[in-house]
Amino acid sequence: MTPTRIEQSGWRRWMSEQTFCYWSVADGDYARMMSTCIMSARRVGVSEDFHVWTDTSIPGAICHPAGKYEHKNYLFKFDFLLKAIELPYDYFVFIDADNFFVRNPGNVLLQTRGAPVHVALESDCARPSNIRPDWWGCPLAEYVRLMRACGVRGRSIFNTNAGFWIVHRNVARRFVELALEFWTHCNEQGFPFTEEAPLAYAGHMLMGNPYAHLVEQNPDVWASDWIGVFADRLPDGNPWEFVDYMDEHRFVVNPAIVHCMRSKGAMLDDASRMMKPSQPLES
Amino acid sequence: MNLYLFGWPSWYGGADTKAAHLLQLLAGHVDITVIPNDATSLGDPDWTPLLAKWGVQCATLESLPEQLSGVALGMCNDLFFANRICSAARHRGLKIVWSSEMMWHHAEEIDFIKAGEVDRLLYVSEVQKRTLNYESFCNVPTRITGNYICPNEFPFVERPQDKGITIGRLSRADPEKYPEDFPVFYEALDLPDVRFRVMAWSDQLTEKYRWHRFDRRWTLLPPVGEPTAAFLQSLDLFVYPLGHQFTESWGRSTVEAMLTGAIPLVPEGHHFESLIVNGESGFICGDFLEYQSRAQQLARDPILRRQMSIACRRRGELLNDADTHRTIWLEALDV
Repeated sequence: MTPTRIEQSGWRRWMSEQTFCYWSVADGDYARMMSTCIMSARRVGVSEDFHVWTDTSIPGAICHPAGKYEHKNYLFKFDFLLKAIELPYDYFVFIDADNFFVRNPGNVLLQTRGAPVHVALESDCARPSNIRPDWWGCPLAEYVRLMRACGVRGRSIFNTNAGFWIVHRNVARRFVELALEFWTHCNEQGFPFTEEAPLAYAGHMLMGNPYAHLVEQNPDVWASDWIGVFADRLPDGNPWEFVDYMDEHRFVVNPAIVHCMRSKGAMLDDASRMMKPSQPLES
Repeated sequence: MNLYLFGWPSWYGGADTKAAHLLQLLAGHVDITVIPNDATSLGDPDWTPLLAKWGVQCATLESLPEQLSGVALGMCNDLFFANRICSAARHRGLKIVWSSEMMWHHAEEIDFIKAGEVDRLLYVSEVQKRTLNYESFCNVPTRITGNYICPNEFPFVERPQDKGITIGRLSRADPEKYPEDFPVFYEALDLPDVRFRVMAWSDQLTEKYRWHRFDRRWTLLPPVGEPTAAFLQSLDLFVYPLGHQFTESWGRSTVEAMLTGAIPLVPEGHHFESLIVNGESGFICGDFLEYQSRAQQLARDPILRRQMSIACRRRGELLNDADTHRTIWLEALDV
C-alpha cells in the first residue's frame, strides 16, 4: 500500500497533507495480539499501513524482520524508530500490540497540534494530591528533579504510557537523542527506567504546550485501560472511566483506540480465531 | 586613563554590541584606542569613521610605542589568549583586564589567569559569576560591571493598536539559544491575528527545525537583516524561551527590546529577575501556561499593552543610567 494522504479540509490543512503509518515491534504472543489490533482497525475503516518488526507473519501487517534485539527496559522502541523512518511517510505512529480500535480515529496527526511529536501525557507527578509515591520505582519528587535537571521547565511534570506515540521523521533522530540522554542520566543516578520516562521527557521538550497533549484533554483518540475496565474482554466502544495513575482522580474517556493492557488473553483468543499457524519471517 | 580595547565593535552579538556601547559610554572620559585582531578592520567603512567621531583611535598593536601605560581590555575576544595578544599587551606595560561575557571559559583563559597574566577579571552578572567562579582557582580581583546599553540607540515607539499582535525574538544565531520546540512553542501560544518575527536566523536553525512548516505568519530574518532597533520596534512582545542547556549571562537583547517598548516574556532563572520587574515591565514565566496566559492577556488588552510598553522603556532607562555605568566601569578599569 502506498503512503496514505489524509484527505481532510478545515483548520489543519497542513496535517491533512502529511502521510503516516502505524508501526510496532512485536514477536511471540505480541505478534498474535498485533494481528487482533490490525483487524480491529480494518473493521472500523482504518486504511493506513501497519509496519511491524517481528519474527513471524502477521495478517494485515507489512512485516519486517526484527532480528535479535535487547528487550530489557523496552528501549528497543527507539532503535526501531530509527529503522521505521527509512520508510516513506512523514509521521510514524507507534502502537503497542495490545491496542484495540473501537472506532476509526481519523487523522491521528491532529493529536500533534503542530508539534513534531505527540506523547500522550497522563499524570502530573509534581502535584501535591498524588497518592502513589513513585513511578517505576523512582520517587515522584526524584522523577520531577531528574526532569528539571535535564531541562524541563514547566510547573507540571507528567508521566506517560508508551503504548501510543507519534514522531515526525525529521525530528526522529533528535527525539531519540533526547530520550536516551535522559535515560542515561537517570540510569547513572540509579534509576534505570523503561522507555516511558525518556518518552515523557522527549515529549516535554518537543511539544510546545505539554498540557495540550494530556490524555485528559484528548479523551476520544487513545487511552490506556490500565485499571482493567475491560479486563479479559475486548473493548466495546462505550465510554469508560479513566483513573489517574498517581492521584486517582477520574474522568470519562471514550477513545477510538483502547490500550487494553488487561485484555491480552481476549486479544490472543481473537487472534487464534483468525490466524493460521504462524510462518517464521525470513531475515 | 588610557584604555586599549582589544577587539572590534559590531551591531551583532551581545559582546561586540556591548563593546560598541561601552566605547560610547567612556569616550571623552578616558583616552581609548581600539586594537582589532585583524588589521583589515581598520579599513572598516562603517566603524572606523564612527569611532573617530566618538574620539576613539584605532591602531594595530605593532604600530604603537614599545612601552604603553594604561589598561588592556579583552572582552569575549577568542584570540586574546589563544593568539597571545594578552602577553603582547602585558609586555608593553599594560595592565590586563578580561571579561569573558560568556558562561564558559575561553580557550587558554584559565591557563593565563593561573599564570598571573591577568590583573582583573570582570563578571557581567551574579549568574555568570556563579558559573565561572574565578575565585575558586585564583586571587585575581574581580568586579561585576553589568551591561550598558545606550538608550538613544533604541528609541521607544508607540505600537499600532488597530492590528494584530507581533511577537518575536533576537539573539545570536546559536541553536543552543533556541528551545527544542521553538516554533511550536510560539504557535501554541494560540494568539489571534499574530505574526512571528525572528532576527538572526541561520541555516543551522532551519536545519534544527526542518520538521516545522513556517507558514506565512513567520518572518525569519538573517543576522542584521534589519537595523536592530527597527526590528525590535516591530515587536509587541519579545518572547524569549531558551534552550535547555543554555544560560543567558545577562540578556542584552531583552533590555534593548524593552527600551523600544517591546514587552518581554522570559523564562525564570538566568539574569532576568534583575532586569524585569515581573508584572510591571514584562513577565518572568515558569511554565508554558504562564507564557500563554500573559501573551493572550496582552494580545486582547491594548491599554494594558501600552501601559506595560511604556513601563518597559522606563525600566530600560533606569537600568542604563550613563553616569552610574560610567562610574562602575572607571572603577573596574582602575587597576
